[in-house]
Amino acid sequence: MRANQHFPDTRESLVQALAGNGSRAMDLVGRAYRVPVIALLERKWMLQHEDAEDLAHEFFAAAIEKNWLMRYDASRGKFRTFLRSCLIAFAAEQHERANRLKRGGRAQHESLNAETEALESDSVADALFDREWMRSVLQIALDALHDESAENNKEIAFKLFEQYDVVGSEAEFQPTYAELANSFGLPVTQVTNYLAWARRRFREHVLQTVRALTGSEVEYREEVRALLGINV
Amino acid sequence: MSEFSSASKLTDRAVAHLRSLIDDAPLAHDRYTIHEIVGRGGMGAVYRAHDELLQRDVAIKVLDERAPMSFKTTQRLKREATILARLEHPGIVPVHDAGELGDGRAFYVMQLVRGVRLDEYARGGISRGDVLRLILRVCEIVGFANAQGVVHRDLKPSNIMIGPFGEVLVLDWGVAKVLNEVDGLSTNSNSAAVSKNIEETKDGMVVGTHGYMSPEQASGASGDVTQTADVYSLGVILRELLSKVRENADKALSAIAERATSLEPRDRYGATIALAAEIRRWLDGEPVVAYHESALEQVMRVYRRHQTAIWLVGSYVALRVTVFFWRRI
Repeated sequence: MRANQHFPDTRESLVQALAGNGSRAMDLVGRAYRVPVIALLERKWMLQHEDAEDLAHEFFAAAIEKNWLMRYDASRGKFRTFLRSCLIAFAAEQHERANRLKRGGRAQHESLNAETEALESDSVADALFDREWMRSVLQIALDALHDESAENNKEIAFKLFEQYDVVGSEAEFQPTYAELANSFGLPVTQVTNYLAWARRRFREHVLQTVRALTGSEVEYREEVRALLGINV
Repeated sequence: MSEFSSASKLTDRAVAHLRSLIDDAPLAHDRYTIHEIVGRGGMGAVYRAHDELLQRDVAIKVLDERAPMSFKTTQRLKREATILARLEHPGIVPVHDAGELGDGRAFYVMQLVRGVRLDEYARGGISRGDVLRLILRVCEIVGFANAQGVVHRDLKPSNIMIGPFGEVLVLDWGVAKVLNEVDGLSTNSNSAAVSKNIEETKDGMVVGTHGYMSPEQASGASGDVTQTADVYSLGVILRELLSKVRENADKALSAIAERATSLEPRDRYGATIALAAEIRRWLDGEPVVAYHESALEQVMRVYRRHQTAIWLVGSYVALRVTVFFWRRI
């Protein structure tokens, strides 16, 4: 059995990617963090879904406009933590501004600070943010697998994977390999092979996505261990 | 972005499954395709898998990804594989391959065992003949391992498998102890390294299953655990199975089980082979060491043993007597 090979450490970090090809890297950040950001806003600030979506849009727009993400220093912590901190600060500012307008401009910093601290200690919201982040990473990997399957004329492999490992895992009765083989008109061994290929590639796409969303090799390994429970 | 990205959000169940795939995937690399988990123990999980190279189903034992990975658990699994590889016997599952996954977890590949565990096998009742046949077979298997300096230490019905053709296998050697390691497992450099590195079960650490483990094992005095610990476990299993047989209880068999489960190791049979010999004596209608029978029981045993011959001789004598008196008339 072949051991996993590590990617070379000389790869482009997220910060470099943001600086070099900003729009592509920012697109990936947006895809990975949009849902977690909305979930956090809904949970912490009790926003309606539409309001959370609007605020999330404003947050990403501001992040691009003000180059917030470029300030990320991989040596000081995880990108995920950094982005969450940026979001909390941004949302708190928006919240304060909205309250100030409601009160006719009279600021009450003390109560707001206390409220923000309380929000920051909301571990449930943090867990939700992490869970949605992982869900987004898996979805991105699934999209990548779909694209790769199409490019390599392996659409059947993707469809089998979707039927067995995505839709099938949600169903009460997961289809058997024999049922899939029958339904797709394939021998069972071919189903096994296609699924093995798809699972192997899916794993690679997940790891590549996490890699692309982290700022250093150390952070990459920590994120994989923390969120996926495996060592790479 | 592809059309698929617009698909509905992944459910929590799908996320959990996809996460597990990420962990399983290394096993699917190259040679083995993983199917489903067929067993999960304290140390690891056993998967049914397909060996693509040799085109056969196999079982793969891997350290559980949910358990904290440590040097000790890794070495223990490697050690188990090494022990199994040494014990080449039809009653012990053979190891085909071993190694480490990309994430560092140890695994080994073994024959996929199909059959019924003894606890399930005996659930609906069992005949005395079956009990004794199975116990004899397990005694031989464990006796073989004991002769190689290996004590199983976790014999129980759920670790004994009966195959579709009546074959018997002793499973799960994960907590086996190697006696006299210098002469035993550690005779080659690899296993020597394993044996030295593994932190053996030290005194005070209890391994095994309560109810089946010997008192010295349960006390945590691992230094006192020898092959008589396996004799004890087999005695417990024998007693348990005899309680489920349809036939009437037999005092001599009960005494055999009692002797095997003596609290003091020196009062038990010295080895599982000795236990097997005792059971064979009972089967052959000979007196057993564990039970002192009365004169009547002795006569009855001899009668049962030579029932046919006694009847034949008796009939012959009766016939001769009848003929003798008939001629006199």
